[in-house]
Amino acid sequence: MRALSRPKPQPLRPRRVVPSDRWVGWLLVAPSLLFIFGLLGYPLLYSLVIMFMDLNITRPWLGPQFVGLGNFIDMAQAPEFWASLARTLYFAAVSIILGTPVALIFAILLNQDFPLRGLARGLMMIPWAIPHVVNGVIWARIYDANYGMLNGLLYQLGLIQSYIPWLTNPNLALFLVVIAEVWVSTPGLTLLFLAGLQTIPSELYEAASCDGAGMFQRFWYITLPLLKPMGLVVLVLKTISAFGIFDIVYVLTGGGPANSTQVLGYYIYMESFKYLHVGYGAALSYVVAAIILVLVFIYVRLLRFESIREGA
Amino acid sequence: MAVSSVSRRAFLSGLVTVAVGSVLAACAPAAAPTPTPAPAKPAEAPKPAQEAKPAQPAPTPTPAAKEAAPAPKAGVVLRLLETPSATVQAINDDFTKKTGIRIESEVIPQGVDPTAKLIASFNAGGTDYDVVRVDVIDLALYAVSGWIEDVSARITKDLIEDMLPFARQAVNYKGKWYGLPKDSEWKTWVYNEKMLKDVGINKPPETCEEYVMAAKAVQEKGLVKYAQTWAWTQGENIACDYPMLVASLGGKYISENDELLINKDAGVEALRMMVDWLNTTKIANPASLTAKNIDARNAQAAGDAAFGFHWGTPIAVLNDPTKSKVVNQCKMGLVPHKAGVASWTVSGPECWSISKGSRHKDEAWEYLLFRQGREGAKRQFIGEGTVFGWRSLFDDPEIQNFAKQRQIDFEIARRQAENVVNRPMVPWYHEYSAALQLELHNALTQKKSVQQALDDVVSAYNKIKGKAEKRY
Repeated sequence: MRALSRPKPQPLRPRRVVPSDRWVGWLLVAPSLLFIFGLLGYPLLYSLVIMFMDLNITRPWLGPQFVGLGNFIDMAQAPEFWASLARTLYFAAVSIILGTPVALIFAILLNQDFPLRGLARGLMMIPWAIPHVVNGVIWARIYDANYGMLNGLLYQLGLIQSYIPWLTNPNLALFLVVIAEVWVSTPGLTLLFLAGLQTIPSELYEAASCDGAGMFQRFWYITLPLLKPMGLVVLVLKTISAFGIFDIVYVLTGGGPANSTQVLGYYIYMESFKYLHVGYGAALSYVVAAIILVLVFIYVRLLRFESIREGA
Repeated sequence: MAVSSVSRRAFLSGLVTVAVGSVLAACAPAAAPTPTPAPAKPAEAPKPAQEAKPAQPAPTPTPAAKEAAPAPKAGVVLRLLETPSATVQAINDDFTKKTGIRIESEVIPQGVDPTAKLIASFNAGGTDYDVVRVDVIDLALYAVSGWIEDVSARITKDLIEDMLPFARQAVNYKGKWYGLPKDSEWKTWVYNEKMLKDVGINKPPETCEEYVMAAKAVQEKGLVKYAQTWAWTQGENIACDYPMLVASLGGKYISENDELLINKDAGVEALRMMVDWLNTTKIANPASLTAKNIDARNAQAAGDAAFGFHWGTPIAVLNDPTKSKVVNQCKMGLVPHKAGVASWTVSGPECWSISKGSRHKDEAWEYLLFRQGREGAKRQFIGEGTVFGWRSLFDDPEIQNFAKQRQIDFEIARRQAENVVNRPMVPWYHEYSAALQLELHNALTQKKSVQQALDDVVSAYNKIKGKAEKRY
């Protein structure tokens, strides 16, 4: 309408410009990018720098002192580092071995049709929804040597003659922490497996049934292979979370008894925030990140190799 | 279809304007969350003698005078990192009424260690908080790092002399004074008098040998399974109990040159005793290795322990029928010790200091005197049971009455307060403490011999000290 009322003809290429979608996109994500860079990117880069420094925050005016690979050499010579690494690997392995099958079983169960399935799925999520610190407190009550629920249950069932101080045994404590962690992380993994299960076409199962495949065969030849990509995701997430475990240890055992539950996450916390060895703490964090990367690389290679072999 | 006629130039100019505006807004000083504090005043000359006066009970102004007198320092705001209790809030309000200085507390959850936040603020210039709480184990670090104000020119002889010895130690590092004592509590030995009488013991054990005998007696009679639950989880508390035992056996923990002396004599004897109690005589609950302070107190409150070693004023809790099954059964006693040696306990006092970066140091000192001086400390003791560090308050009739009501044995408290050991005050304390905790656990779980564990503590300590001395 407006064009009709204009006396002059429009130029061939008008100078009116609507910013392209790309521009608008950048503009819209710019605030987020600023925040992400500020809150994540900058500290990440800074920690990359300070892992080669001795950053004495009690003498900030001295500034970071360059020590080259000094922090890494200290790490290689620190028995606490190797002991913490070994504990973390044990933690990750046991947590994966125990947690993954349990999550898969729950996912398969929750994928069946049964009354109140929605409610069951919701209830399943509760441990995952509770903050880790609260879970730590709950498990501290469960394992309590004097008034703990575990002791109470076992005693009532006649399985123990007297209450056992579970967490005082250095050989058992870490395993008990893993159990607590598995309880916390299983719902999340179940959710992932459940999502994976729902992508498997039901026709495959129907066809297999027609061919006479039993329940176990359907699981082995259909479910498991098709869940492999999700299994990789689960493995990666589980490994990352095992290497980053801190809060449950902090609340449940404080790294004890006799450092038997001091995993890498807790060791990094102590070095960085208790002893104020900030550069060393940064170096430790990057070593952990590198270890996780290597593990993920191995997982991917192994699972891809399996897929190729199966494809061939 | 009508299309917006925004030109590329107009769009880009708008974008640049918004960006520049945002940057300028970000660079602008943050709006004060409270009425603007007064600008920083030039440093006033210290007035030690006059400054000490406010610590005495201030005369109560008449209502008319209150209305007439303008608050002398209205507009000044002192910032703290603390969740104030009702009592402290009332003290703060009274201080504001008296001086016009407003106290702004940044809430921190109860039990949360404020150290990381404080260190971050110190590194940013120390202007965030004017008055800071410093645990006795952090004082050395804060002092050598120059984070807190040396108040030697402000503190008076009268104040210094009235502090209990351990509280005085907690506000002094290498001859300089850094503040006033707060929460000057020590661990109190508590025994269940009824249980002891039930086994024919009519007075609390005084020596370590008597303690073991009494413990065995109550266990053999089946009154408790274990005589005592200690808070020996791998944490700071076991690093508190051990120095207490070393002192009670007549040992010296650390030399004047910060040399650790625990791998001989009383140091070895103390750890051997702990190992025996846990593994041989079994008078210590094996759950002690994972027990925290509250677990140890709960065990005694539940009637599952004849003895306890607790912080603060535990009798109040043990006599609270909503929390205890042993109401009116427990009594305070002196910590058992080696025959011929005084009874020692351990303390965890705090020093309330002025941040080096504070812009209101004079006002902060005035506040400290008002709040942590004798009168303020008395109000906190009566209001919430916070233990004071002033010797003269033991003679205060109001305090004595309050203690009587709460069944606190003041005579025992007064005697114990004179023999209280602090943990080593060294800038590398936390690192050393972690090494101590580990080795104590190694000995208690019998992974190492007592001697080996303590030799390893000393070796770790020397290594930490050597490294730290280069840093500080």
